[in-house]
Amino acid sequence: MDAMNRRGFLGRAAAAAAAPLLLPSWSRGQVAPSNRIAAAIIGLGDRGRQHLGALRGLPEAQVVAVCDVYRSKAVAAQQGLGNSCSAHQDFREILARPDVDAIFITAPEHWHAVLAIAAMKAGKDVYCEKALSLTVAEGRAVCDAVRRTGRVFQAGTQQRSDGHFRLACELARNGYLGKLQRVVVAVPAGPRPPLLPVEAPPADLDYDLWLGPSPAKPHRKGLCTYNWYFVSDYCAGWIQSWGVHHMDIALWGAPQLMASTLTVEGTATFPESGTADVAFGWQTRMTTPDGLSLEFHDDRSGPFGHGVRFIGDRGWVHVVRGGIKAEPASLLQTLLRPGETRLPRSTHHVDDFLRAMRSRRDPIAPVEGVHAATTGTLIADIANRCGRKLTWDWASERFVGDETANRMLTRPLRSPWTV
Amino acid sequence: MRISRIASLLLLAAQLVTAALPPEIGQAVERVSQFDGAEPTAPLHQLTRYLPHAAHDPALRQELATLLMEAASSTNATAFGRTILCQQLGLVAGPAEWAALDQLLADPAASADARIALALARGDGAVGRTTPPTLESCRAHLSVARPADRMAALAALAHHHPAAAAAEVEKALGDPDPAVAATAIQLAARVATPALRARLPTLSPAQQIIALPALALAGAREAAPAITVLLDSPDAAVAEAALYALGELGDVQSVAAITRVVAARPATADAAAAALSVLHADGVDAAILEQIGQAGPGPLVCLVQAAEARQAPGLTEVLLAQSRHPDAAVRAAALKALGRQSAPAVYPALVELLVGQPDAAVEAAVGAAGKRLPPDTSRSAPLLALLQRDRIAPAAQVAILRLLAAAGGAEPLEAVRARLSASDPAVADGAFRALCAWSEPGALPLLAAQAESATNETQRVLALRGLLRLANGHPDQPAWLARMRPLIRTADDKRGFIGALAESASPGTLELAAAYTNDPDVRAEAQAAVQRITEALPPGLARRAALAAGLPPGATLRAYLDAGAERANNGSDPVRIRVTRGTDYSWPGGGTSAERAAASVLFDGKHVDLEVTGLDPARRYTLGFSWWDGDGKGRTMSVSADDARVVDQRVLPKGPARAPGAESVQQALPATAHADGMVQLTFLLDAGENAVVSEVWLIEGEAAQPLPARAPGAAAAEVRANAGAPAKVLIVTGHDYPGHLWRETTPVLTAHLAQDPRLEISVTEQAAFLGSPSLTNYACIVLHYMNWQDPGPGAAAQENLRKTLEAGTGLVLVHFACGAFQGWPEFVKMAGRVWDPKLRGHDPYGLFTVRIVDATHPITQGLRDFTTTDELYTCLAGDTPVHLLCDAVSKVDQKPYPMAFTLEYGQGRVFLSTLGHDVKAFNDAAGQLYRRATAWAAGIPPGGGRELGIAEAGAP
Repeated sequence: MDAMNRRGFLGRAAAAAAAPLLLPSWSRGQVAPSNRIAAAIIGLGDRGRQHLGALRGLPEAQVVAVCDVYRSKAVAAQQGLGNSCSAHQDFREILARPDVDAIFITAPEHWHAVLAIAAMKAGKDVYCEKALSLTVAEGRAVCDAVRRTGRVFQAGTQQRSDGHFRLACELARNGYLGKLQRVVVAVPAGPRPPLLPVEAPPADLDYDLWLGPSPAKPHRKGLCTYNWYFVSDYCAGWIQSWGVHHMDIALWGAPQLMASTLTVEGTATFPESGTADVAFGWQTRMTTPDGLSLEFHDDRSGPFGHGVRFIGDRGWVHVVRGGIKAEPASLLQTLLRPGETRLPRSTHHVDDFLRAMRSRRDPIAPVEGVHAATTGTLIADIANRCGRKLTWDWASERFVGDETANRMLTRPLRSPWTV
Repeated sequence: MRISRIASLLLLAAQLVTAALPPEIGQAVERVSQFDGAEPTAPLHQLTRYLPHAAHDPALRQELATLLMEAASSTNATAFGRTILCQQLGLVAGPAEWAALDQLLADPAASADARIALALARGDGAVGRTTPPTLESCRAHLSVARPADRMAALAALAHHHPAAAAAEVEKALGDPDPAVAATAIQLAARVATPALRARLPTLSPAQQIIALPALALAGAREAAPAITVLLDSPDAAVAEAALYALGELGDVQSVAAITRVVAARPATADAAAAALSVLHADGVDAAILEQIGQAGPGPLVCLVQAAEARQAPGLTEVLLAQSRHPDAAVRAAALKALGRQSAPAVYPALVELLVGQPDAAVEAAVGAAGKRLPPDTSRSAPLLALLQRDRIAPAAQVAILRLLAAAGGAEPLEAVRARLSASDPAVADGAFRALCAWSEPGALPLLAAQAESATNETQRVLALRGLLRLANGHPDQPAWLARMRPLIRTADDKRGFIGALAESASPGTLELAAAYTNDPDVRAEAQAAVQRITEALPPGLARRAALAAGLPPGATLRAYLDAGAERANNGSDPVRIRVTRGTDYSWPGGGTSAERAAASVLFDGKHVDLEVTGLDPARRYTLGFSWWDGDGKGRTMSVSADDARVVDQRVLPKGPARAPGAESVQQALPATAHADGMVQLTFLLDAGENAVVSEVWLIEGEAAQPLPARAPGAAAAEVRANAGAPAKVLIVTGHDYPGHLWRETTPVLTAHLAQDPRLEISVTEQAAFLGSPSLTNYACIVLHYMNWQDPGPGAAAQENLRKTLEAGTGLVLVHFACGAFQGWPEFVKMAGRVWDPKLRGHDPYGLFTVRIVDATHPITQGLRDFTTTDELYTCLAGDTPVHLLCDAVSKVDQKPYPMAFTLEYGQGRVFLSTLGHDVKAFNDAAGQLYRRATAWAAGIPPGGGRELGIAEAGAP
């Protein structure tokens, strides 16, 4: 297949698929195989396999390569896809292929920025799982790369493609709750894994490649599947990895939280022993200069349980996956009037990405959104760890007058990895 | 200035206190430097928790840096330990440490770690903001060959140098690479709007589709005239995109333009309505209302919808006028809008519409508008006034009666009562049905009287359903249910009645439910209801009722004493039991009512005595009691009645304190014992410590030993073993996604299954039944249920379903049952594949062919491919191994998707099919598939019903 011709995709059918940001889904004709978007998936844990399933249901795309540092996972995924798909252990082989249009990054957090930037520099569009990055500084680097390369970047904050969350944000943004006073976010803290014993990595795992930009430390049993969520060299915990979903909604519905500065103050509990070293319970309050507060909790200590609640002086709306409630309940029947803010509509997060690729527009979850949301969770974590009131400046993306906290906004990358 | 001197001294003292690094941190650093990856990790946690707090203090920060630098440089440090120390050092190190770190950098074993610390401390190789590319470098890249590089250069130019980008972006609109051109369009909408506007007519349709929303997003209102021209594009997709863009960017002129497009191209109606709804400019509302006065039916629907969405001033009058429009679609749109939007003052006028056209659209509008009124008579008053008017057509009267049922109230009820005997049979029937659908309990007495005097079966069933609905939650529910009891006749009646009983725990409902436990129609349902009620009652009451329910015909419970909790039994019992010797005590335990009743005991060092009076010398009695060795003292006991031994020495069963294992004993009393109407009972300790007894009861008549509980799955195994008896099948329904009308589909599914006479079908609308131990009585569970936006029956019920399946009961999953229990990981192992909401849901509802993939399986043997009108599901996920029976090819992506498959879970057989969205989808072929599958899952050979096309297919 001639890669350049196959990329010359703006045939009639493809154009119909390029449904723009503001449009509801359109009926689509058949997409010829030569016009399909060629996608590759890097990281074949639960999420990678879910995307594999989602892509199989979308005729506009075809998965042409799968990759995992566990060779066996790549081979197993490839076997379900046939000869048109290749299996890889090293993602660099995929980035070097001219026929791949889009990369799905479903590796752990510590890899996101390095992988995303490398993929965009190689001319690929990127769907990157949340959180955007392990640190605020890496997230900024990804934002710059997206704007400098002109690539399409969709973040895996897929709640934006769920009508309940959009409705909650539109109610908050258009003043239906009155003057906004509090935004309360609560997410699960996750299980607390015990001490994982040090042991030799399994034979089919390229552990050095799994570690990537993180410090070289010995392999632990079960670390590379799931338990990495709770070790700060790889992820800041569910405060970050779950937190970013609802934080994204909070900021989508109340962008004034990002207008200037926030004071950030909180407490958290951390394990006393074992391998995990991330927060397993926290209560953090962030406040704008004019008094709007963003309260961020684990969902056992939050006042309203799991979800995002926007509270104004005329009512509130509380949204979770699969449900929304409001006081007064009639708010949920609101019809937006002409001239009010309507957020972009998407009902399928991967499909939205493919449509954005066709038309070269920003998808529903653009990089700046997920960077802000990731930042929101990380500055909470840093303030909790420092145990003092910090002041966050959105413009410089630095804390005001706190050198230690500012050093926690970044991390050195292990050679040879760079962003 | 004494005070300020003290203050500064205090401040100094505080600094001195904080500046001392606690000794345990020194120890933690020491231990971290020796860390080998094994326990204990506590020092590591201690250090990482302490450091961000302490580092804010300059003196502590320096002390920490010195300490960590020293430990990291030590030749004794382990590699693991040094990496951790350097990560921490990076957070606190200052210029004082740079030299030492530079030195460490030279040590090959430590250089990577030193680099970590230096990068943080000195900012070497810092990650973060990058320097923007220069204008020159961006321009230089615009002429390179690789399209990706040209796109990147354009993007960087527009992002970093927007003022200088316009000319280059405009030039790139003509780039030969379509992706680069598309990028240029997106950027031009922001930085080169006039150029894009001018080029709009000359772009290809595909590019126009990209440009239109980009202009809308950029808010380029000046592009509206150019966009208006594209409304007439020969390409329908371009016209539609132009409509949406015009909605964002247009002005009052756009109203007429959009109206004209809809008239010419009816297919654009949705886009046009959306555009008109969001148009944001002065005078748009008035322009829309004006167009409503002139437009033909096609545009009129859009205009009415838009006017409603905009809540345009003067809307109500316009809608009322259009609600009499001769075109049905216009009328429906106007009425729908009136139902949702109209002001309270319009309600009487809306009611008035019932006079002319009492059809479903008007009735729905009146109902919806009425629901928004305050809960007083304002809803019913206009309806009553209309009803009392002369010459109101019967159809209108019936509609009014239905609306009154929803409104409720005393006066409306009186009006309905008056019309029960109307001379027009349609009105009388309407009144009766309104009464049955009444929304308030005030109708209970009248409804009960009607049910009792009902002369035809339809009316009896309707009234009964109404009664059950209204009695549910009523404070006097038990009394109402008792009154209904004589009306319960058919198996369906019984199921509904028992369902209502189970909702309300009282001795009365328990007695009513217990009366059905020997009824072959509803034995399992009644048992489940008894269990549910007993768990909700106080232990004594519950146990009493459970014992009564378990008695054979001819035996009656005459007295029950929860020993240890009561000193005498309930005064209403005809036989009296009184404690004469023994102390109350309670072992820890309890959970179920039986466990709680067993936990409380009477005890005594030698013997516990009870006095029983009120016995009839002419009758025979059976003594029942329970006892157990709750604290493991090795008790041996015996029982005497008036000195005659009735139970010989027995070793009491032991039970761990938290799981009472009381043993129940029933033994006939010698006739001689109660010749005087009374008996002295003695529970005598023969060995061990302290005599105990948990419960005592008296039964009039003969009663055998209570049966041991059955093992899970035993019933299903019996069903399979006994091929001659009908296999009991339970359809579980009662809740689903609102688009799935289970009330309509369940009877159709039931009828299909019932064609196999070997299947005995029951239906429950209570998913909570999945939690009942009686579930094992069924050979197969048919799940026609999905807990949409509902917590479902709960984890215990799910586990019970799982265990029942594992033990051998079959499971058939119908259509959206694959979507039940989202978030329960085990379900995908039981169901094989489950709904993944992230996947594309299904093809549009329509005709497709179901292909038999494996015609050798017992279920599909002899079946042929069939067509059906249904939703072709494309949303199943899971990797549990399944055996595919049928598939169908999606019209959307031409891929095959599973329509039916089987698997095994433990001993249980599972069949899942995604067919069955609505009544139409349960056609004969789908029904046959489900019937054969249900038989197979129940463990009997499929094929017991009227079989379609098998003879032909089976022929050579």
